Amino acid sequence: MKSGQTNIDPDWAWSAFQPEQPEDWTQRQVAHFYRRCGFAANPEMLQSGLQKSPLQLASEQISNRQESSQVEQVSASLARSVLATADAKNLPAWWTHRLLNTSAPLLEKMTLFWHGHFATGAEKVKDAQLMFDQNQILREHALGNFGSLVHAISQDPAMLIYLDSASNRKVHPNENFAREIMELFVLGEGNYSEKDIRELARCFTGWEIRRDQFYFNRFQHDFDEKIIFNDTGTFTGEQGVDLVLEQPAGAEFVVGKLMQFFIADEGLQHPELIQPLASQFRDSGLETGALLETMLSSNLFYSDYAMGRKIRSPVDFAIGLLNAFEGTTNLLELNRGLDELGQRLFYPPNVKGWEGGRNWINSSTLLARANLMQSLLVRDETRFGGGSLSQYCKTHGVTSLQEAIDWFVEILLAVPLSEPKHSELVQRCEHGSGSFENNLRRGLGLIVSLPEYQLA
Amino acid sequence: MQTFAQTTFYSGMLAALFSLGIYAEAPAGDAARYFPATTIIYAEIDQPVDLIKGAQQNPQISQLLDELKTIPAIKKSMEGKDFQKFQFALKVVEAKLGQKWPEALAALTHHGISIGVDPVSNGVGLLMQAEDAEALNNITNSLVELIEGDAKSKGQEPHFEQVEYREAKVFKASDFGFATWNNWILIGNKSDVGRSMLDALIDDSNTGLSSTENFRNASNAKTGDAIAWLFIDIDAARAANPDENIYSNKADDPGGEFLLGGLYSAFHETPYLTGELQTVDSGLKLKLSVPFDRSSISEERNHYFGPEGTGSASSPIYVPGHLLTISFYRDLSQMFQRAGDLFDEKANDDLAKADVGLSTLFSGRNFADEVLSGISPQMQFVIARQTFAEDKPIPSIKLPGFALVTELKDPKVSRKEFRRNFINAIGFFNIVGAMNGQPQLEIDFESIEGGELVTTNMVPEVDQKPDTEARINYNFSPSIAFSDNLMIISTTSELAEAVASSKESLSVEPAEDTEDIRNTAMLLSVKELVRLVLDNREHLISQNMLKEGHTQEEAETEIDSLVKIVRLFKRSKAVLSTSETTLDFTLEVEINADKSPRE
Repeated sequence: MKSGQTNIDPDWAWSAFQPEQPEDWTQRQVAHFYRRCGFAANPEMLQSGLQKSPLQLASEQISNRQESSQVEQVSASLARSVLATADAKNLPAWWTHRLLNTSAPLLEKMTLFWHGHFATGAEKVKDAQLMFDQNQILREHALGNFGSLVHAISQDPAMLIYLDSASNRKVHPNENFAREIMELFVLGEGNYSEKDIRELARCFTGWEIRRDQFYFNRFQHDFDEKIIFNDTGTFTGEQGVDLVLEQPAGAEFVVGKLMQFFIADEGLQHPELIQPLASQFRDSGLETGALLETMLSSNLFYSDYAMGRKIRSPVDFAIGLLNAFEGTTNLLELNRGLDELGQRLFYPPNVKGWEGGRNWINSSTLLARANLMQSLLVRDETRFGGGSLSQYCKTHGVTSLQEAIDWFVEILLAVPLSEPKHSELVQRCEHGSGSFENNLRRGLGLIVSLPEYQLA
Repeated sequence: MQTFAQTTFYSGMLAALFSLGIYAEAPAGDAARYFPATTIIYAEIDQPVDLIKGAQQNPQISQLLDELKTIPAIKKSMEGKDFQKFQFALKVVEAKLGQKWPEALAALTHHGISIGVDPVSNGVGLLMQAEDAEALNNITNSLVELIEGDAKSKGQEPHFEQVEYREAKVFKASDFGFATWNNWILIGNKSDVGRSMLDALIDDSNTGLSSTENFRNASNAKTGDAIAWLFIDIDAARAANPDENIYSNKADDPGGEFLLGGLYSAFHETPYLTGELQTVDSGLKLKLSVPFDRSSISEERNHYFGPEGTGSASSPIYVPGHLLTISFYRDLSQMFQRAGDLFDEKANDDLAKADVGLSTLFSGRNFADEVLSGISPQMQFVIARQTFAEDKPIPSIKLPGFALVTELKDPKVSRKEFRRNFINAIGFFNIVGAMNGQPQLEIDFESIEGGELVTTNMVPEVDQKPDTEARINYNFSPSIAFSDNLMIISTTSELAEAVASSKESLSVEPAEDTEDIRNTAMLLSVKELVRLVLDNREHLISQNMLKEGHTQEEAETEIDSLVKIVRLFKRSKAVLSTSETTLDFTLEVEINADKSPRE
């Protein structure tokens, strides 16, 4: 494996990872895949993952774009109930239920990525149905064509309401959406001019929301000639979006963000590393699935540049623990806790979404993470595999506290735990008074409060 | 989850108590004299053996227990190690005693069971009179032998120190003790209290709780057919907690004053409270009473009890789909006018602001003096399950209709005012609703016998197809109805119409005891409550899944079990009334004898 942050060979980086020996393909690597491409894996998923190649694992997840009918039916039933209250505050609980039960983890992970990318907050939109509809759009296109997603989102009522663009008249074009589509959604800063924004805004005139649906009011559309990126024409809104998508900078921008999301928070944003994937992305006509297949089966993805190089988002932190041991809990309380940790689903802080990385952690959120886990682990509603944690451990052949700690560490941590820390952990758990169940839960609480668990 | 489990447990106990209807016998002796005179809370069950037998033999209880066992949380705790250990210990005890635990318990409490709390010593005493001394000694000796044998096998010190006190055998443990004498057993947490109770028992003393004036007065009013009887010395409670905030006469919450102001006033002065649990025709009746002189009610609380306590609630309205009716006497005008005496400064400021705003709405007429005084103090709050037309959007969450019913003293004047303000309110709602993308309300006017109906309908959105999952808004069709003197303000036009046609006036139905005056009466129909739960079954299951982390199957089992348990009951009635000498709260629960909970 190559080392040194600045000397990564792009050819090596994006070549498929092919373990030379069976022992080169370990449970640690499979766990890494599921932490990044989903929300952690339970012991059965890890065992099953070991039987597949890295490329098979990635391909399977990318082609898995349809939720199982059982999960879909339960999710639809919960959605009906949540939407019937017309209160968007109940949506996070619905989504976390789906994250815990999904049969298509990468699809959900990408939906979460696009939720942060095309950030739209229910605080402003207020309408639960519109927020839910947007979430469905993101899921529908999550692993599909990026261009189609941008077109869909640009006429999404929730997005237009959020960007104050529910009514856009030719006498006074609203520049908000035009600015964000260039700066935040497709191109990134420095790849457009203020004039481009003004001209693009003219394309979107006449775009309105009527009765919660997109509506084109031709009387308010500016049919005159516009000049965008040196192209001249009487462009419509859709044509304006296409012009933005055609800019070469877009592929680099999206690849960079995806690398940050899936591979490492910092240190890999080098043009020479981004360029090969950006070319592939452009050449494929902006197909996200193909891009991710390369990225998620690559040498770089399984290298030390990636393993443990991300800080768990609050959702990864909490859902990851529950998923690892088939846990269920009070989801309303869980989401209250996620809010305190800085990631309330459907309520991103602003149009830039969650910044992520080091911003997830500070002295206050670190303490809040430990508190959230302690409060969840003492709740009767928190169950593992439908029962107690001790029962769950027993069914997996784990019968002593020492064995349990070793097992938890192996499944949960992305980076190895030093021997002194491990011994201290075992000692603290063994000294705990109370039942085996309580000591196990206490041990689990201590592990997820470790700095090592905060890394994914 | 704990709350739900508790609810089901209490439901089980209610059903068990109901079964006593078959076995109730006359109460036996009075153990109160053996408790210290300073006892503040005292309760007794004269015939516990009947309670145990009734619970064992009542088929509804076994059905109820079966249902409870299917509830995930209860099932889980029954499968837990602690419960298994408890079951094992129980079997060991039964084997040692040579009888099942209910039989042993019945023998132990054959002649009654009493419990008392003494705040002076922080002592709690439990006194039971067994079938005979032999049965008592057999049981206690066997239990002590088992416990000590277990301690010995674990290498622990004996739990009990056995001593003699006069003619009694005393077993002392670290934080409690018990003593046996003849066929009596006394369990307590304080040795001083235990000693004084044993002295009273052996000497057959009569200087204990039963010698106090409050207790004597309370027990004089005791009826002979109660299953259980409760006494609380409120004088002593006040003396023990002389917190001025609790007993000061200024409230900070008009809502609280409206609901409980009269009770607050009564508890401020009353010397004691008694409670009786009885079996009635097809259920249970709990009656709580405090001594009360209605002729001496303070003037500021006339709004609650009426002048000299004569304010009486009308008989509860019953309409199709009836779920709950609360009928009460409350003179709102009086309450507003007496705000200075009743409420603290902040509450008064808030009421003054509300008075100004509402007076503006009513064309400058003073809201408290002129508008509210035009409304009769007899009011009713009615809740009924609503039906939904198939050609209109049907809400996904189905709420019942709510209505406030009262009488107008001068309908010719007041009707116009209320009608106009209702229309204004709907207009305001439509403007605010339109700004927030909410559906609009359309007003309609209809003449009915003796009056008129002003109804609204939620206008379906353009292109909206018949929908069974419409927004929650479609539960509402706010309406106001006038029928002779009656005014009905309702969340649905269906309920407004039903109430308007159900009766001509809010007549006052005489209470069972003609001397009694009913201040508040509540009537709950369980059948419609069950239907309402079933209407919203899917949502309750979803909420259960999100809140309890249950799977769909577990959530369905829990909700369906809840429905089956509720179905055991038919209706419930609660009445707050005054007699010449008491203020009484009576709660009756009628068991559903017609239906098996499995149906």
